[in-house]
Amino acid sequence: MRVISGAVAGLPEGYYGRVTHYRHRVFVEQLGWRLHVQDGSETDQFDRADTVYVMVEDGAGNIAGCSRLLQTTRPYLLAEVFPQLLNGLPPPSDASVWELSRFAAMDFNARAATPLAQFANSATALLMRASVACAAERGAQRLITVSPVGIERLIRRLGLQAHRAGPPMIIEGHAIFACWIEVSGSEHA
Amino acid sequence: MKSKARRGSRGKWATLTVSADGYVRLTVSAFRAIALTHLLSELDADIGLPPSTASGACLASIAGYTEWASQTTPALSLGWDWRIETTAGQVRYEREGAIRSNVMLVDEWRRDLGAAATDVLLCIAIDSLEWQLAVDHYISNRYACHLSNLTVTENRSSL
Repeated sequence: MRVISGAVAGLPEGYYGRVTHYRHRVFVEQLGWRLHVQDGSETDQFDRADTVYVMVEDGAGNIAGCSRLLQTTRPYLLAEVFPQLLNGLPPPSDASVWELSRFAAMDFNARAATPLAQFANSATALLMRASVACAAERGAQRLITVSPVGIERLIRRLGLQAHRAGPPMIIEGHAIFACWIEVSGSEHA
Repeated sequence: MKSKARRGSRGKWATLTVSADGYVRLTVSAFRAIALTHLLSELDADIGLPPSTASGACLASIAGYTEWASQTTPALSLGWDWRIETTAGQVRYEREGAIRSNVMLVDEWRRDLGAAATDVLLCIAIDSLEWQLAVDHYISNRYACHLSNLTVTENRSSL
């Protein structure tokens, strides 16, 4: 497996389209999230020129996982759409805090791909560590995520220092929450 | 710091705030005075539901997680994994692993006890609560169509 990361302009040709297609398969087709889709791709207003993408590609060249990193000094998902997940705390706006979203590592080539199967997926750990490392390279000291609650179990099992920002909420039938991840001191190398 | 809440036992006024790092800081005794409410529980999808012809022995493989919160502002949020254990025909829910929370316990001088000590103390506190019935009720209702055929013990017709 190999990791590919960068903003759209820095990605190899065709990879942005592949990651948005992969997100469609995971979040729309598998998880049933009601997101903006177009031509089999899932994108939103936070997919911008400065957005950083992290992907894991398997040995056969298939996308096996992806995530999205956004600076909190610019509009980001948690602050704009889900600020209620912060338990009353104002959304951070800090160059040392980045948002991790659209995290998924679902192997569609496995015999039975299920939403929680990603936790047993070897790509998952690689993707999480690569996401943390990628954010660290850009100056992040902490990450804030908005994710399904299951992601916290993954983060903790990987040995990362993390704690939730508040209780999960049921939004459009899905339990989601916000979680802080410490970049400094985490074993992401 | 953000919201404040009047909360506590024995008529005391306790103040809860969210720190900039997202933690709600309080002492163990203050934590124990706050009631927790069940939010949701889920089965682990990967474990797989027993087939309709399953026997009680299949219960040994059932696991999931549960989420609880306080009614305070700001809210305390705690979640943990559980597993159903069967011993001599008796079924019981067991907490598995650490507590996931937004709580940082502090000493009487408001100094952090640290994540590790907080984990230990929260586990002790949670294990002293009777959370199993709420989880059992929720899971039974949510997955009734899948689990209704299970015969577990003489006095419980379903999980």
